[in-house]
Amino acid sequence: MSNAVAVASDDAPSARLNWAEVRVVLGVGVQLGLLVGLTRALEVISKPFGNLMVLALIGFVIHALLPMRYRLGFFLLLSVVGIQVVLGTTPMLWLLGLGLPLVGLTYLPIRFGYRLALVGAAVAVMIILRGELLPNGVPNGVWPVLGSMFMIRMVLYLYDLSHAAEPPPLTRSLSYFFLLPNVCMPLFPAVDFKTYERTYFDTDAYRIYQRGLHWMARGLLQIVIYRLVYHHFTLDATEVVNAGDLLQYVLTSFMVYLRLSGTFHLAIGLLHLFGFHLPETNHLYWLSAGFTDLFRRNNIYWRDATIKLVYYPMYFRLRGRSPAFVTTVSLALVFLVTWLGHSWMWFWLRGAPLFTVQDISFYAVLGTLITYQAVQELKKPRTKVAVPLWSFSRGLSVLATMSTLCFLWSFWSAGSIAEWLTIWDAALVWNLKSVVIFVAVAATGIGLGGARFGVLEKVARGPGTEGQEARRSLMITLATTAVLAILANPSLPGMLSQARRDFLATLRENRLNRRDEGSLLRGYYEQLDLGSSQTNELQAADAARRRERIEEFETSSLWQKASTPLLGALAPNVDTLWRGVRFATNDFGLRDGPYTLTKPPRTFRIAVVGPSDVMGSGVANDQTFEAILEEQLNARNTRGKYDHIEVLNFGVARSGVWQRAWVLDTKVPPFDPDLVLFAFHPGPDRGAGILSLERALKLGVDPVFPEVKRFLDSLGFTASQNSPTNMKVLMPQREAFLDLSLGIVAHVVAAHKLPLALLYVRQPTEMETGKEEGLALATKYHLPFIDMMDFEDQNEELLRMSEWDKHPSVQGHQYMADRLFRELGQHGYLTAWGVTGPAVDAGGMVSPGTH
Amino acid sequence: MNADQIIQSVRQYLLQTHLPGEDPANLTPTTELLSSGILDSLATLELVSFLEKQFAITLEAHEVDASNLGTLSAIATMVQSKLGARV
Repeated sequence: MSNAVAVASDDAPSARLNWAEVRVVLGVGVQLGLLVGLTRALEVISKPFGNLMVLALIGFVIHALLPMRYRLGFFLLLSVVGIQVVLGTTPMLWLLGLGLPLVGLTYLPIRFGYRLALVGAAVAVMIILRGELLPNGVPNGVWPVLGSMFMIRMVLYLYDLSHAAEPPPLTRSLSYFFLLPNVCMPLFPAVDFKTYERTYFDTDAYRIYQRGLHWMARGLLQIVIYRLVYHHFTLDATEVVNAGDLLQYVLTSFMVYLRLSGTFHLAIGLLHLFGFHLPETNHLYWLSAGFTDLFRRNNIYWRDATIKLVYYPMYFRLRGRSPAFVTTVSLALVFLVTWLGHSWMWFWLRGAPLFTVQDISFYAVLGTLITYQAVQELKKPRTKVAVPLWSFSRGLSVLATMSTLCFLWSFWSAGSIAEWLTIWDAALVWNLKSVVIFVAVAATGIGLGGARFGVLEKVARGPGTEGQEARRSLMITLATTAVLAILANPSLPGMLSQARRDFLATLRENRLNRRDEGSLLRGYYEQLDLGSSQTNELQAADAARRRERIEEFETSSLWQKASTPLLGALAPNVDTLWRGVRFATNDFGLRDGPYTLTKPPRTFRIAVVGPSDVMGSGVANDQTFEAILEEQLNARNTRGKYDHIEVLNFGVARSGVWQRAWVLDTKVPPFDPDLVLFAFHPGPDRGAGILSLERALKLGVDPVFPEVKRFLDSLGFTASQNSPTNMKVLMPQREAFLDLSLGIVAHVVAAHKLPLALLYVRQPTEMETGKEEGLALATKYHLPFIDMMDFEDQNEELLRMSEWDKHPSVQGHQYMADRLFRELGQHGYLTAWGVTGPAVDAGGMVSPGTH
Repeated sequence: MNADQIIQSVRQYLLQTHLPGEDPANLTPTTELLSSGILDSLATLELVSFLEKQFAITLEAHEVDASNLGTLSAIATMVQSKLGARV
């Protein structure tokens, strides 16, 4: 391999540095430092990724100054340290403990077939453990990373190993699997092992580094553009009312692929900085003039992997038959493997494979289109045609290809097939805006698509162009960095109006948009098989898994269905194991210990009303925060006024604010509480309420509250059995319904004279959305509140059940109890003891006062 | 057959079949053929057929990659290796 910039070359006879080489490292280091700063300022990918980038920056400088023979080992060490930084020590040890033996098996001095069988057996055991068919102590977050690092790359690695004369150096193999950025990117390019080996410092180091920086800058820009599209142009299916909305929905469904493309550019760009001169992952895929062209440009690593593992072997096996037959069979197999590979990765990321009509249909149709076009191309003679500066026919081809792809993608990523079908009603509704949108999109598609720069020309580049490429990469990197630096400037928000600050925040912060909030909640509340796409599949899988758990719960002996707003209630006097922990209810169907309806003398009684996190989904009875709080309060009770303090758990899973208001109205007053804590999730409750209302109405349940009935009458709403149709009317009203629901809470509080405080909470690692709007509602209805939405300096990943279940874990409940205890103490409750009735102080807290 | 002869033969084939009109001087022994897009997967298989017929060698599926077909030099090395192995 050449290394024209021989940084700390092995050949250097002395320890003296070559200053030209040091200048290169400094120049690249400065650019990398700027990109690291931007990554952190713009919250790209995740906060742990920002930390990993700092490690990468330090690591790059050391790596580039090391003698060549130490670099690969150092890169491996850096990758392992990166895993510890991101996941923590115990998960890192688990990851190494599972991954190292897999690699070790491939080095056993036995026939390859036996090694393959052993690796297969080891993976089979891991499948059993990942699928939770056997209990195991593997911590949260390890399986997705292990799957991402090993479960595709091991196939490529074993294929190359089977044809290799001898095993590769162990360091190279290990570094191939534990690639530095992979720990933060569950969706990662399918890096080929032979390519990984072949391209390692295969040319001038500065060229490799500069190309990497260029791609990282490009990746950051793509992610920012993605956010612009994601927050301001994507539509929920319920918002599609005319042809223009329909086109916007379909186009933006695919445009969010920019996030994956940006992530891939960041990953491969970062690897360049450690000498891996890997190929590009995508090449102007949005200018594909045909489906075979799309196949050549999009997700190039996966394409190359399937060509290597499936297409070429099948082609060679079928040689002698007609080219059309061979191409058809080989490509069909490629797409079958692609679909299976997608489901395989889904299993490792979320613990269950993905088999949906949407997924199967997407790959089948796309595969058919590509195969058909490939066979047609076999018949055409190959001639080099001069490519004009602009071509209308090419532009039309690009428009047709990308429109078809967007159409398929919208189907694939829709919440459900039923939901996707509802949007097509809008195709018949045209207005001036729709016409303008169609014309603009067509003109832009044909205009850009017909331009020469988008053509994949077969040009043999002459010698001496490498320097030009490096300079070009430098200029693009600096220009992109400058633009992003303006965006990330901490002083910028102060110069803008509130509306522009809010807009800017959507580009600078990593947060969900309304559509994905809706899809997460819909997956939780409705009978949906969520579709998947490569951009929101992790979120869709989260919601699908939570939905499965709640369905399991509601069909168990723990739940009794009823025609009430809650659609049921916890069964009384149950004592069993649920998800491996004790779940017990008392005489009154509360998930709590025994209490009497009549409050005993000298007892201070607190009622906690809320959804599943209050109920204690996933933890035992004595591990819920209200149980822990009761214990803490009694342990510190001086018995000056009260002999005992009770905390009663009125939590019920999958309940919106209006349903909790019903609990507050019907279940709580008989217990005569001295304080009611009403758990409120300002973000999710915006959608949860309307979703639970739709569910109840679909089941024919009376909504009970006159306010709700007037609300439905004002919309002219009559529930059908088709949820997407219902949601099209209701979902746009979710903010208004939340407002109304808190109004009902205020009304109930006044009617029963309940001493209530809203408990503002969010689940660990959940986005902090809707807080300001929620606090405004509390003020509007004069409802006191306790704000517990921040987790102070806690590691939120440890406070939740798992990566897909954000309910508080045992540790999470302990933290909530401790925090609530402190909040009550800070506001005088714990020392007062002489509670005579509710009054609101200036801080919005319910405080000791006089009835 | 020496490496230069192999390179000339393959260069001529590529210029005629996949790069008509291209300046031959641009197609050097180290020009990237696969990663540059000159050869896509179908064109690569056509190249394989050409090499097998022209030099009476046999390639396996796993040998169709950049290390063997990535440049004219790599092709020449691979062909010489197969010819030498056959002898």
